[in-house]
Amino acid sequence: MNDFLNSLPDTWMGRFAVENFWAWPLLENLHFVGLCALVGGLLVIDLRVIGIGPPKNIPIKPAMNLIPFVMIAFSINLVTGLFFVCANPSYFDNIAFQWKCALMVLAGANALWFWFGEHTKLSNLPDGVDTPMSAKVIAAGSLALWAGVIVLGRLLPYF
Amino acid sequence: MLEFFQWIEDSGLGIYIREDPWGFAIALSVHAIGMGVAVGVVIVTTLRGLNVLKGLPVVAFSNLYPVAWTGFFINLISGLALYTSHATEYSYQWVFGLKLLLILAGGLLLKLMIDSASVNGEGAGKTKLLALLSLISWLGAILTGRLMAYF
Repeated sequence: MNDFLNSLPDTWMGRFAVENFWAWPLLENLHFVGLCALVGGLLVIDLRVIGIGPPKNIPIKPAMNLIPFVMIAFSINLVTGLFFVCANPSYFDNIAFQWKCALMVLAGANALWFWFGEHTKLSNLPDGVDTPMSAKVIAAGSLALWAGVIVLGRLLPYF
Repeated sequence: MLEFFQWIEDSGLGIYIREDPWGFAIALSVHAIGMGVAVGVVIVTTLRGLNVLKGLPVVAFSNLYPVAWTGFFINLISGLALYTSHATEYSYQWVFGLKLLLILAGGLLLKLMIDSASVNGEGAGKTKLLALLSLISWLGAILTGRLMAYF
C-alpha cells in the first residue's frame, strides 16, 4: 500500500500538478467550479424533494433531469481531486481527508438509495404534490453530507 | 486610508479571525458553503439561459432565488470577517478589487438575463449572451478569490 502511495507523485497526474506552477491554482479553480455546479444541481433536486418554501413549486420531473448534470459536476471534482491526491498522497494520512472520503461514500450510498428507491416514483409525481417522507430524508441527508464534504475539504490544510 | 484599514485589522473581529487557530479556517469553510449555494444557483440558472440545461424554464429557478440570496449574504458576512483579518493586505490586492467588480457585474448581468428570459425566452440570442457574460463573471469571481492566496 505504501509503495502504491509513494508511486503516485511519479504518475503523470502527480507530475502535472506539481511541475507546472499554474497547474495547482487551475485545478483548485476547476474543483471550486465543480463544487458550485454540484451544489447548484443538488439544490434544485433536493430542495424540491424536501418541499419547504418556494422550491416546492419547481416541476419535479424536469428537476430530475438534472441528475446527469450533477454526475458531470461530481466527475469534474473526482478528476481534479485525483490530481491533488497523486501530487500529495500524504492526504491519506489527513484525518479531515479521511472523514471527507467517508462522507462521500455515505453520500454515494444515499444517492443510490435515492435512484433505486425513490427516483421513479418521484418522476411520476404531479407538480406541486408533496413527496414521501423517505424521499425527504434522503434529500436532507444529501445536502447535509455534501455540506460536510465541502467543509472538510476546505479544512484539509489545517490538519 | 491605510490608517482606516489598520484600524479594521486591529478590531476585535480582525484579531480573532487572524489569531485564533480556528478563526480563519471556520470563516473560510462558511465562505465555501455560501459560494456553493450562491454560485450553484447562478450556474444552473445561467446554463438554462444558455439552453445547455433544458426542461425547467428559467422562471422555475426563481423558486431558488431566496436560497441564492441566503448564500450571498452568508458570504458577505463571512467575507467581511475574512477581510477584517488582513484588511491592510487585501485592500491593496488588485485581484480582490477585481473580484468585487466581477460579483457586481455578475449580479447585474444575471438580473438582466432573467428579465430577458421572461421577455424573449430561454433560447433568445440576448438571453444567451447575458447568461454567458454573467456565468463568466461569477466564475471569474471564484478565480480571483482563489488567486488571493497566491498574490
